[in-house]
Amino acid sequence: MGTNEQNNLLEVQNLHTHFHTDSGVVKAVDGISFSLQSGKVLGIVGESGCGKSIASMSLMRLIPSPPGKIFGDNVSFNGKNLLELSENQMRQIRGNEIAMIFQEPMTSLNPVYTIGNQLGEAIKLHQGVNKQYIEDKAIEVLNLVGIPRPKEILKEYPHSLSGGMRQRIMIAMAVSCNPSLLIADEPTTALDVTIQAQILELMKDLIKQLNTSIIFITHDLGVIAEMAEHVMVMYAGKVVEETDIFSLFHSPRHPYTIGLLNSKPQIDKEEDNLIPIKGTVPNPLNLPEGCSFHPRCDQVMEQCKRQPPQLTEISPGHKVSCWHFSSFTKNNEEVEF
Amino acid sequence: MQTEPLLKVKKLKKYYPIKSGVFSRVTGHVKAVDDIDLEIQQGETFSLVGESGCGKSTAGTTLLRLQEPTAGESFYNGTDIFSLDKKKMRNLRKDIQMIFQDPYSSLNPRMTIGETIGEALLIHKLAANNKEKKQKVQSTMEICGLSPHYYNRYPHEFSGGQRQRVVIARALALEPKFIVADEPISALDVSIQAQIVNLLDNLQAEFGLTYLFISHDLSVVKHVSDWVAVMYLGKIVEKAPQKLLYNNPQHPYSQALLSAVPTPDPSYQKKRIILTGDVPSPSNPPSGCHFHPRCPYAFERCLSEIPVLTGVDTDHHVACHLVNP
Repeated sequence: MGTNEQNNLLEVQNLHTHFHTDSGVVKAVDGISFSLQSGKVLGIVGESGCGKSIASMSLMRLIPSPPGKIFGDNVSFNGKNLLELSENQMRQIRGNEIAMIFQEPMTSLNPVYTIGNQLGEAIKLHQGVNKQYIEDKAIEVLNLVGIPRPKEILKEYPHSLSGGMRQRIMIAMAVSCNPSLLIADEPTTALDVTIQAQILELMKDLIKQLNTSIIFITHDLGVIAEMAEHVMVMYAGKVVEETDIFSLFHSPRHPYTIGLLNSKPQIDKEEDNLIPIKGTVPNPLNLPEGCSFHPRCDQVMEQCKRQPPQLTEISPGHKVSCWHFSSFTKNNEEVEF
Repeated sequence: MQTEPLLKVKKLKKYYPIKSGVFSRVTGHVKAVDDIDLEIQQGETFSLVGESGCGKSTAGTTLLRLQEPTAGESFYNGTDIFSLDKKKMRNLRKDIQMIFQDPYSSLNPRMTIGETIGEALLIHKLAANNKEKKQKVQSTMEICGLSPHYYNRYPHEFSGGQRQRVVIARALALEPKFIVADEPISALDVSIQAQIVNLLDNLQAEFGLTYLFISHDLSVVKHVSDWVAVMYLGKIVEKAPQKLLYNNPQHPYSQALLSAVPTPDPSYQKKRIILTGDVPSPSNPPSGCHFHPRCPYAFERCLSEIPVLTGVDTDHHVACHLVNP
């Protein structure tokens, strides 16, 4: 996939988010770069603590400082460098041009305000103060996300709605200002499978209708396979593999990606034994030397323990950060796994 | 059929009263578990699946009498668990143990790993002194993949996966025959889940354990189970051997549930059944078949008459008017 520079809505270069704690510096996001074209869906996969949520919150500059510190070469969104904007300019972008859907529909809505009040807030802030307009717009987006009786729902409080309905409200809020970028951080993780299926279906419809770019963050490879076109796999604050969705599942290269795929039982396949990744996710305060994955990797070499590998393009659009592939050009043979 | 099952549950009910008004009068009941039957054979894994609030965890704790049942019988090896007095019940607890979902909240932060795993050994007088206790605990720890020199460590020093190994070691220390595992892996990371599933598999092979596995993760359930029962609002809607249920689900809810699981393969196009609406509140379930408001095939009879779990095949039981006219 050749990236067309002009079409890139978002271009992130060497983004870092560090937290300065009493016991040391946590490099939650440690130099990630990626780009996103308009109208595309980028998936970010990884386990808890890999930095996927912090990366997306850093784009919105939602990390409190101190203890957090965001820095990097460039985060260009629609031609603006988000890292250099003032807080006021950033507020114009949050919720308006970039919107976010959070994981917990139970806690992301304020229990003491009505749905209409909360939904109207973003519209009022970014689009005008005409009361009738706000209500019409709110009803319009509620219809869009498939909420029955939108007029009455506007007057209700979050406690009277189920988890699936609340997540629909969160999505409605996020799309109410027609953002050009939508960040969905584990939007279906807290939901039951049948409700998850509903919400995924809704989001796919919205992608078609609104032509919004989406960053979809999840730990569930099944959900990613369904939603994303391009995927980044993160481990310990770094991108370990980046490729299109088909090569990720059909020809994964990084041992961590392969491990993740092997460790999950599949509902449509028979397998006798799961192959787990040995060991545990490392403590972010004390990451291993060299490649962060090397203590858990079954193909570790001497070099992996000393030097961190770089993200290298091994075939068009397929990047891997692994010493087995950094020498890829030298011995052009495929490594068998 | 085989020999007498290790655990046999008959017409188990667990209702929670809803109280309201000044005098806290009972105005209704939440029927968390409503009339379920189970039979679990020695050495097998029986799974209860369903969405949150369907009563699967309540069923697990009630049949072990961690909560008193409203009605029903539960036979373990021929003994009626619900009729035992306190002393006999405590004795039986050696044989039946439980693994809980959240390894963070189910370990006492002030007890070392050794104390946690060894506590029950002393209570049940399976270890005469501290030395014997330590020996037994350490061998159990090794079986569960924990290094014995963690004996004097505290839970906060461990990751989620290791804590879950401690929880499993605690259950295993008494050499039980039957273990209820309530969502044992759902709080863990994907790469760790497989480690724990494999550990449970190996323990079963080694010690001939019998599991009641409670989970909402249908792909894991498929991997571990011999038998599966699907629950919806306190009732079992379908019960069958694993292969039969996954290859040929009969109840519309089981079909929708299985089709809703996302497949980690982008080129796999599956026909998905999207259910409308939400899971209704168990305090006020719909009339007739509880599933009828969301069922794509509902007809008149479903609105008024509660379907009974009936065999459609040997071993395959379904509660649906469509399947059992």
